[in-house]
Amino acid sequence: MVEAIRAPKQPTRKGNAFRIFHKMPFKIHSNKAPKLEDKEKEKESMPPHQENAELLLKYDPLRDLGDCPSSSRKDSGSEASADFNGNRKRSPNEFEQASWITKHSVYLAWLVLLIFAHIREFMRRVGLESNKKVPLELDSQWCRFLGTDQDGHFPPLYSDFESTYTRNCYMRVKDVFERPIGSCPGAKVNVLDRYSKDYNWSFIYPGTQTEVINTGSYNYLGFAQSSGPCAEAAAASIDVEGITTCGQASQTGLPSSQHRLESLVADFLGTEDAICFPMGFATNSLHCTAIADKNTLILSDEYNHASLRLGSRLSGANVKAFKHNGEHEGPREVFEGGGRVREQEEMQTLQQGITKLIQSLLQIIIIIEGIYSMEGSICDLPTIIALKKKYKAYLYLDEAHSIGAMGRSGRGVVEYWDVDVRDVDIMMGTFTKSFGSAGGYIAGSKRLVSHLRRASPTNFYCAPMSPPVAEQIIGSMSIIMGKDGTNEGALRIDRLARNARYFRLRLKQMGFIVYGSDDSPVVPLLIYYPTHCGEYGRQMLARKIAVVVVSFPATDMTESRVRFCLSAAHTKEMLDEVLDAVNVVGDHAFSKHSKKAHLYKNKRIEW
Amino acid sequence: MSLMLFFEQNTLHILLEFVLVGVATWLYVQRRKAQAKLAREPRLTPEEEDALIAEWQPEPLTPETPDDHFALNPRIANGKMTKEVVMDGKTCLNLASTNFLGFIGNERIETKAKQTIFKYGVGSCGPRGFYGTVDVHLDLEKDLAEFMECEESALYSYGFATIASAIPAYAKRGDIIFVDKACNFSIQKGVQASRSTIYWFDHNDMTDLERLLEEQDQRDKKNPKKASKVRRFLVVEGLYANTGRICPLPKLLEFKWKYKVRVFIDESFSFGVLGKTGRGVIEHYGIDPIQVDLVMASLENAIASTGGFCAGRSFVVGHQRLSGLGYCFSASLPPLLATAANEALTMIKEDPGRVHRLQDRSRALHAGLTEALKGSPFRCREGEVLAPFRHVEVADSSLRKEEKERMLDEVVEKAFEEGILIARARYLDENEAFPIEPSIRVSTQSELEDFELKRALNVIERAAKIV
Repeated sequence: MVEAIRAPKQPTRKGNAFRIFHKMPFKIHSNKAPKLEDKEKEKESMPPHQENAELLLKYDPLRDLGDCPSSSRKDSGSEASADFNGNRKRSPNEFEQASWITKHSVYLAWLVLLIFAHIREFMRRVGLESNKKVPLELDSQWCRFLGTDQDGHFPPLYSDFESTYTRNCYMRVKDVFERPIGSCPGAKVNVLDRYSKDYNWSFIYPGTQTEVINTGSYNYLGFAQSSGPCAEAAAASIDVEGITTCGQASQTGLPSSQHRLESLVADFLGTEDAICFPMGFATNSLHCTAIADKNTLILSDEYNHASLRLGSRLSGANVKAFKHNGEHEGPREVFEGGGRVREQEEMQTLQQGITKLIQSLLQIIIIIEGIYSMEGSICDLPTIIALKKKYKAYLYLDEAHSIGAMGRSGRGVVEYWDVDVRDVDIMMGTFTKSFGSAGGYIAGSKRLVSHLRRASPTNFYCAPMSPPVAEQIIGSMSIIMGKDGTNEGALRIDRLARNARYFRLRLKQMGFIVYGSDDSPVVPLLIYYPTHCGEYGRQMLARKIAVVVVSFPATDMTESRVRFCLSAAHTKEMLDEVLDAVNVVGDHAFSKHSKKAHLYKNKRIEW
Repeated sequence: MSLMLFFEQNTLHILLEFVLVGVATWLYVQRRKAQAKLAREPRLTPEEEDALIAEWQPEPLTPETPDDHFALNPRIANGKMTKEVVMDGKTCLNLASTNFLGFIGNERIETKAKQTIFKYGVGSCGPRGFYGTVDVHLDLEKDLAEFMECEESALYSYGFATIASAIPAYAKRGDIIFVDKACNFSIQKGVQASRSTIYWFDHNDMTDLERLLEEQDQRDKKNPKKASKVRRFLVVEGLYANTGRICPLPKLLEFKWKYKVRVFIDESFSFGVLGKTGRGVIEHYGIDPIQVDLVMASLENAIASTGGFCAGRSFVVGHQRLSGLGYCFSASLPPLLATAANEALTMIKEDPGRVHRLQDRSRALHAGLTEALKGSPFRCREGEVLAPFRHVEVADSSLRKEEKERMLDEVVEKAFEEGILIARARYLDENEAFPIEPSIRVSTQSELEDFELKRALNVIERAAKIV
């Protein structure tokens, strides 16, 4: 009995990576045999894969395309098929962990960074800082304004730590963030040249631009274009409908472009109905409120986007975070946020908690994302759906990064996993990424969408979508669906899939740690040290490549990373150029932390 | 001997220590007992658990919405929402849009937007931090800051998110926010997201606000150390969208210095509308902008674009670039909307006559509508004469809400039949912090001719009398 209620042992990330690698076609040397319960778990998680395996073979995207060289399929497909239950196309998520020495030295790096930050802050306070441009408390301005010293004392506007970090750590590498561009964010982009004379407090723009390869923008299908049918349709719609409507849909009316877009989105996704909004962030943050209330339990992945977290919080629901890439095992894990339960006493209260919880709850909503933009991982949709069915929960799937980019015909992770779209209750996604536009949608049953139309704040208080923005989406979505009579959309999707696989495998071959699945076009390369962010950003730019570097607070403290977002617009030559540059910079920075590079050593990786 | 002396001298102290040790031991024992008791209690077996889950039936995800609900059947606009608009195939005079300066359909703005598409594409494909900052965003931020006579401004991609993100970027748990009860929904969401302590004061009632501030001051005096860390904010609207009244800014600023509260103003409806050159409520009162901590505004009304901005001192606005959720985590404004907004701003700067024309029209609307509603069961909601929109409500306040709504709907429908488009002001009643009186919103715009306004007023007068 006691055995039965013990929380399932939380697999660490290391454990997961190991297990996943065990499924991979490569032999790995380990002195640890997988535990019995782990094996059982594996067995349990098999059925969904098996069910889908047949269907998957039917929908093999590379098979459909005649011009595909068979070797590239062999590269990934045939080997993987052996142990992924005949599942040819899906690569598992990987989270290889660096050695503990690396991890601990990252903390040391932070420590040094923060010590120097405080020294600098102290020097600024006593007036030793040479850069006088940096005022400590601009509130002193007010004293001058009032002509008195006493009235100026307001409580500080933001906390000490926050401002110390911003002023002394972020400012030193500010030049690699918020870098302005001066052209369309396609495969190549013009970056505005800028330099600073005061340690990044202000920038001077000499007015020149540099053309670089763009791996920073979310332009998965390459629809960020300043010419072509989509751009022309968007421009033409300005003549017909203008730029905006200056009114709310429920009061003044809906522009016909948005009306057309909504039916197209429903058609594309295969849902009964869809509703569109002008901002992707607001789609999540405003509509959780309309769906959940205080009697709802929201189970949210720990790496869910800020908009989802804000939305769940605003709804007043009981929110539990579960571990990303957890095993999604039993009720406890789900109910108690990824098995953070350690003590037996806590377990006991939890046990009663479930009883009480389930009696007092009105509904359970599981919120996950299709592709996690910082992890590059793809959600395990079949397992989640099985879980959802078992516990009668509802599923909210955020396809911000996966819609258009995943699946044979770009219909997102639902198509990638080949599950029934009706099993996902709330399909959410954005138009910013694959469609080269802006905004978001929620699709699902007629009942859900009707309710949202009635309860969405955007319908009552804000402007509807701008017609040219909507027209761009209609254009790009029609191309993806093949409504334009060409196979342009299918080619783009295929190209993206190949780019992603090629780029990821090459990086791994070089010895970098890359998170996520090999099918994902989001490629996070782990550099661990926050201090390397500036190095990578600058060195890559010097080699005419624009990359995104991310550090705390957007990631874990020890897991700073470089992120590449691949695009269908990238050619193999461009990718090779990027790879060569990363290789050199990686050697310089000693960032090749992977211990699994030898597995890829003799592999021929073809595009 | 010395030990005895020691005991004698520290009796109280030693006794206290014994008591403390005793309490600690007792607590420990109690805890162990409780643990043991819990361990003995019967637990659910997996079967029981399954049965429990099988028994439980969740509520449907969303309630059913009747098919004839107004939100499911919005009017579809064909063509541009200028002062003449084709709605559901019927040509109407548009007194519903918040296109106050008549920028929709302006050729100069549209040409600029089209040029932008052919240079930058439509979407920016990234958040501001990651290659989503286009040079046109920087230009617009600079121009907005210059226009508002502030040091810096930050551009957001949606009007609602601007206000709802800017407030929680500063106000955190434990802070205090004073908010007007008539504030719009985005402010309500913003203060809710901040998790601060919220004090609502009656709409534009300065005595009520002073009372609350005074009470807070008394509380602070009791604990000055804590009070020196607690931030206090005052959030108001420049021109209240829900009432059409403007905030008494000079009085608010007086309170600001007296009680050390920071003043945030939502200028969504006053930007481009009030003041000699359209700078909003700050210019209307002739106040130095440095006194106001943050101006937040949507670009979706007078500017006729999409998005919003926050303007103020660099010390304040700069903070949002790392902590404004809607700024950091959202894709940036599509470049074409940024250039369109910038072009509109340039046109206001070049010709402030547009703003004056609007203010004349607003006065005319105010006088005309009050006149037209005389002798009808409706009345104009009291408000600022310079407000470019008016709320019309049912005069008899004793009627039931449904009855009022029916009457107002009827007026809107009758006016629509005669080719005048006016808006039934709709709210998410169940989500609003305070109940709002149902009303019709009649808006004007700078390009509306006198005869058109007269025609519209005649129709409204007739419709109001029939109902």
